Amino acid sequence: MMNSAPEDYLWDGRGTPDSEVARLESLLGRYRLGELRQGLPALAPRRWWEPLIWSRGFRLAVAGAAVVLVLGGSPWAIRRIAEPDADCRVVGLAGESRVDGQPLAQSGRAVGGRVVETGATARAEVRFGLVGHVTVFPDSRLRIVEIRRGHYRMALDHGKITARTLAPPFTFVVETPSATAYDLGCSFSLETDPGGSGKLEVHTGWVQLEIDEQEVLIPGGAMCLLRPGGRLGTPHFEDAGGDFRTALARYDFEQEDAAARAGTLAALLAAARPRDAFSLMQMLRASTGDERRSIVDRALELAPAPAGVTRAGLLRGDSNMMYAWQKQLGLGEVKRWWIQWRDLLPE
Amino acid sequence: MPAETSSSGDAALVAAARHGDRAAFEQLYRKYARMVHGLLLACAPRDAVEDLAQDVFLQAYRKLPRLRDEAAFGGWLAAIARNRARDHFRRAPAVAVEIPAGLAGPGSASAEAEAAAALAAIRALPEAYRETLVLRLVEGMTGLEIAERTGLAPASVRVNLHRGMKLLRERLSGAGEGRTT
Repeated sequence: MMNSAPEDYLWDGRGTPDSEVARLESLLGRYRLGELRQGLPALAPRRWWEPLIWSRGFRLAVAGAAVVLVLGGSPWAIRRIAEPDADCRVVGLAGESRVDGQPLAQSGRAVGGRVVETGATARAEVRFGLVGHVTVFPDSRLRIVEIRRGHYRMALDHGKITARTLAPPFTFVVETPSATAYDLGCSFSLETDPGGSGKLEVHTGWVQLEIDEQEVLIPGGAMCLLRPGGRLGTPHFEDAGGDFRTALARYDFEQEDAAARAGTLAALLAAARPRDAFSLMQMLRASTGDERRSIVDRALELAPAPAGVTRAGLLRGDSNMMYAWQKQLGLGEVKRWWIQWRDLLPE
Repeated sequence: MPAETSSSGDAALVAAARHGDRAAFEQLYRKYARMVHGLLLACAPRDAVEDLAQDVFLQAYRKLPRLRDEAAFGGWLAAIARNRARDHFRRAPAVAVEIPAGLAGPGSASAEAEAAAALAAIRALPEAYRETLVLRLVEGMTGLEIAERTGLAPASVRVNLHRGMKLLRERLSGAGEGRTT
């Protein structure tokens, strides 16, 4: 069979030729590679280390070194971020600034300054190692109240600062004449006049604002007005409509009679967008009676409650329901401060 | 059809070549050039095959230190050849090849046209069949040589040869019907 069956001819060319196979061989032989016409292509000399870098031993060594770097370097990096050195430097960015009353040249530096003051056109920067930095804008006065490992407490007496940080919650604290801002790992701007009127704008992450016993969490993209006299505004998104913002400021800070206040609230609720449900939820902290019912009903229209959350529960202030309701707005988790690492990149 | 040397000596040649022994690589080149040529011819344009084959061997020389199993050189080289052919198609527009009518009749067209049509018919087959048939019918390799060079099992080569030839006969017998690859 080996030498006679047609299929053997197909296998090795031996035996009785299969006429069709033989015809095709004859036809197609013209395409066969001949005498290796081009020969071996010119080969560049191989460098001595090339075989080495592809060897199993070398790859294992590289992988091992990477593991050692990650395991060894991570605790150091985490410590540097979570418990940074108790040190800061002040750098003049533009114009004339002073540190502890001494002039700070535009390119000068000072270590551990206590008070940073900027002139009408000046800007300075306070740098806290890997943790972040605070930019002090013109006509501002920033006092560094306390610096120790893992704790940075400042006081903005007046003016404006922008902070960009990567630190565990409550590492950075900035007092103003009216409120105290606790950084929860983020980027934010804080502005105040000597009397305590101003605003906080959160760019990324979260900030907690406190006045006396009141505290409020403000997410990235939102802002909050500050007023003297122990009053915090309702946090709201910076892109909220003008009518909504005007009505909200009146609702938060102006003393109106019952009829006027009801009109203000009605205007506010009518101007609210779905995204503004966040502000309505914050208003429930201090609202009662008919106002509370109106706010809950409008907020439920804008942001329907998830399963298990009821109108009755929201009206009585059930904290679990409030949490579940707000969570579905998708504003992110306060605890995930480390994902804001981009805040430390140069602008 | 004479049998060529077995692939048992590949490991030693590859070991020498990966340390820069050009004479060893030259031997590998002579042994595998037909296989590479055939694999490329199974899918790439004829006028590009020789240049592509040169590229394949250059790539193989550069990548030789990465080859883990020196005895698997043939299969590894075949994979480089297939990838190089695919790269060529990604960079160059596809060209339709028309199989002329009257293919089966020896006197119905010139031998060159018949050969081109037969090759086009093979190229229209599934990859496993077309590669095996090109290596057998064009390059003149035996089934055993094909298995040794490409790293395929002899049984697989036998199956590919027979199924591919059966399919090819069916298609060629449909003379008069135009086909496009």
